[in-house]
Amino acid sequence: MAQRLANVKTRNQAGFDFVVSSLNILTPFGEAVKKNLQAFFPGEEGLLEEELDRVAFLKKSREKEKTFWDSVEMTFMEMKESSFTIRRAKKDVLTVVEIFELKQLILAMEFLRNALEGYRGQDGERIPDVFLLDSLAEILMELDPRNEGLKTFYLYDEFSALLTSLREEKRQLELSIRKERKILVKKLKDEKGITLTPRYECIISKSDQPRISEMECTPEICRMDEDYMSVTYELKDTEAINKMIQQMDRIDQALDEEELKVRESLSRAIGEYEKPLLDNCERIGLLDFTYAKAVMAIRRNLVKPEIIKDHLVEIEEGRHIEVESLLEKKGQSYRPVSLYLKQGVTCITGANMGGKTVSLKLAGLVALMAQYGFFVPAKMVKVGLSQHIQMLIGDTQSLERGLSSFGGEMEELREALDLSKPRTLLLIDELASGTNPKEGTALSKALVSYLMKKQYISLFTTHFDSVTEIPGVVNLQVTGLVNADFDKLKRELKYANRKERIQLVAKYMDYRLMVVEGQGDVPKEAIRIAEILGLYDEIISSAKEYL
Amino acid sequence: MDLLKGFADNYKTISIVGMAKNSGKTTALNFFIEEAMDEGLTIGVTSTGRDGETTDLVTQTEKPRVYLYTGTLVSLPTKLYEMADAGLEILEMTNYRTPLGPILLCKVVESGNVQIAGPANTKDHKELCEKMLNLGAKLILIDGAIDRKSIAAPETSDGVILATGAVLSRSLKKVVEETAHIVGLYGLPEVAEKALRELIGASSPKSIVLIDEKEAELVARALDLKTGLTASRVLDDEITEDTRFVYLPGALTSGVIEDIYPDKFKQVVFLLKDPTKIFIQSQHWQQLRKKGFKVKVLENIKILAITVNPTAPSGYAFGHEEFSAAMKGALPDLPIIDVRS
Repeated sequence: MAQRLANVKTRNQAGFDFVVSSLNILTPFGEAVKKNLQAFFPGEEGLLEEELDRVAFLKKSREKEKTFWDSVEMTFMEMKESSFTIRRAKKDVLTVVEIFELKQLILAMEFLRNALEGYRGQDGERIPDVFLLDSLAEILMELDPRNEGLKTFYLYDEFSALLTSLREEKRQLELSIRKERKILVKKLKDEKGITLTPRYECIISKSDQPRISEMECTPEICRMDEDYMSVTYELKDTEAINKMIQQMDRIDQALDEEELKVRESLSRAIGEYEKPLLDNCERIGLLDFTYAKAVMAIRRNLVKPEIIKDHLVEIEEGRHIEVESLLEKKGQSYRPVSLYLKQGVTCITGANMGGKTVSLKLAGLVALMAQYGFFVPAKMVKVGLSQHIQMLIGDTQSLERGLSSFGGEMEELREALDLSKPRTLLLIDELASGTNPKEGTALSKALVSYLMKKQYISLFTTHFDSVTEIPGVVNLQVTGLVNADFDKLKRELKYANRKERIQLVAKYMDYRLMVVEGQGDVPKEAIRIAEILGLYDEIISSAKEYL
Repeated sequence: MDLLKGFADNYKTISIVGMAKNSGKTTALNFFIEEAMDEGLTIGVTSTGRDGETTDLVTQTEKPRVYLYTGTLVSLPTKLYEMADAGLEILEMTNYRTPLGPILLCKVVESGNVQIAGPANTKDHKELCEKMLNLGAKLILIDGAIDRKSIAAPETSDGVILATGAVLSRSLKKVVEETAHIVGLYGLPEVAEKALRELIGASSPKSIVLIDEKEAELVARALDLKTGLTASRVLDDEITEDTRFVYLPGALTSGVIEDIYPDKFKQVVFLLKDPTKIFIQSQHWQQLRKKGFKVKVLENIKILAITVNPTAPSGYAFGHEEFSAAMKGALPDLPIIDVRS
């Protein structure tokens, strides 16, 4: 099994799943790449760099050559999952519908191959070799004997001389039978005054006995059906017609056999091309997936991360794109945050609703995106690859397993520590916030001291000030409401409803992080936030007294 | 006279709708395909699909088998493709899914028998017809479902050929009466007044709308209840002496109007989306008409011809000429075609 960079929960909580699922993948082959997405690990920086260069190339190309890529997208959308059929071609006989589907796919591949090979960027750049396709011109010629270049398919006469002659023979027989019957119909009408329908039938009412008797004595017709009202007569086939019908049956049988042979030989011909066909599927998948990353980079304004040897994560004006797209829907904009994380322990402290958790997630998301070969949501990013990334966040209580939220957290922490190895990125949100502050602080401090000794990048968010007292811990503080104009805020609050109050907090909150040197005095803004959100004055003033 | 060419001048898509199962719909379809051949008309043939498991059990036998000639365009699912004995060039594999695989759009290159089927929903169906017309079909024949009520809805096709037959009743008189009743309903007058249409269009499509005349002006008021059995009494209360029109969004059943005081029928016109929303028996309908009950529709259904099948599968039959003549007597303006003679 391939090694895993981060567990499912971490990828989900960090917002990486959101990023992957918002990729606009157009082919089933691209979907396959997405499903087996692999991260790059320390030591594979060169390979990652190549991948990022390909994204950069496609991003630039997409921006400049819109028409070209629009037509590539159209071709992508025509492609249907056919790898199973391709594999079957070698030993089974494909149906006409399956051959039709493969012909469609091959036509699309040939179109794409020519387009990609012929591509020249404005400075003469070419499409990277990994995306170029193998030629299928020969097998296409076999499937398109009329060289029409159309997507249509049929077991054309050109596939077999026998097929042609059998079909012609059948047509002639049909005509002869028709002609013979027409002669009989005419004779009946001219000589006996009997008119038959185009289906060679004649219905006579039983009340018309003389005509019934007349019909009964006419050898050219016979009784076909009868009910209590009428009798239906039909034209009797002559010996000659019967012979022709028998011959038709034989031709039909021969046709079935010949068609099977044609399908078999076409299947074998396709089977010969199994390798280039499957290789092309894979390369198209790669191009589709990489192109989707490039399109996302354009749409979400992402930049190429700089991959470095040292284990660190530096983010300048980063944006958590899942949160950003939520805000966009509400017509608000994301206020970027910068972070510099190196090996050792960094703590984020500060105001409630100050975006601590989002900043923690941002660090995880940027690191994951970079390591999976994506462009990243920031102005500038430097990343040294991690061996392992894990995030501990949110409510892990499990009723099923009889764990409280504290219990769940401790269990998960143990697991995270077990899995960690040198070059781990560990992201922990408010450890032990679900227990008493005395023991919570003690546990947090002890964990910090433990992590200080490891070669990990550890990032904590916490409300326990004294955690930052441990020497060597970097303390990042949310700027918070410090610089807010409180008089103005109060005036605005007067008429605000519940939803507007939350927006007001966001409006006056400064989410930026600043490094606090030495022992920082963590600003106390919990009561103020509670006040803004409309908790009773009585409680607020009383709380201030207790403080 | 070229019957179909005449139709093709005014209608691009024609569905063949059966009054009941075994009323000779497939026979009629085959008849018109032959007719198209004789007239040298390029046609497309498709059917309104039916999805769901229960109907599929039925459709195994119900998917009509027709003899198609070279040049005809046809739609059928992949699983039926392999079973066709006609030579079919695949033009396109559509995205319309059916339990028998995606629908293929084909062109007949060797004449022969084909079992046809089309997409299930109206939107896909329209799109498919459009594709066939673009590929050169001059007229599209649609095998409508057995359930005439839902399928004959005007959006499915431009015109309808109604297949009727002895299967409806042992009494010839009753069959003719029932058929004439349906033809009468389908041909109900359309709402011509633009202002009235706009008033209805502006209200919620799910609610009953009463339109009153106040000082020579029409005023709409939506009634916040669905067309249900309980609606009747409420409706009677709501219809005042100013009320001129009542728009019913759902079905018009005997129940919906049973509690309305009959004198009110004379002053109001009931409005419906289309005639397939009417579920009132022929006899009751005639009684209502005598009391002054009037109905108009936003869109009616053009019936182009009636096909008659004098034989019922259970064994009884009518005299061919007698049946056609009786039908002709009741519906003198429509071509009556005996598909069996």
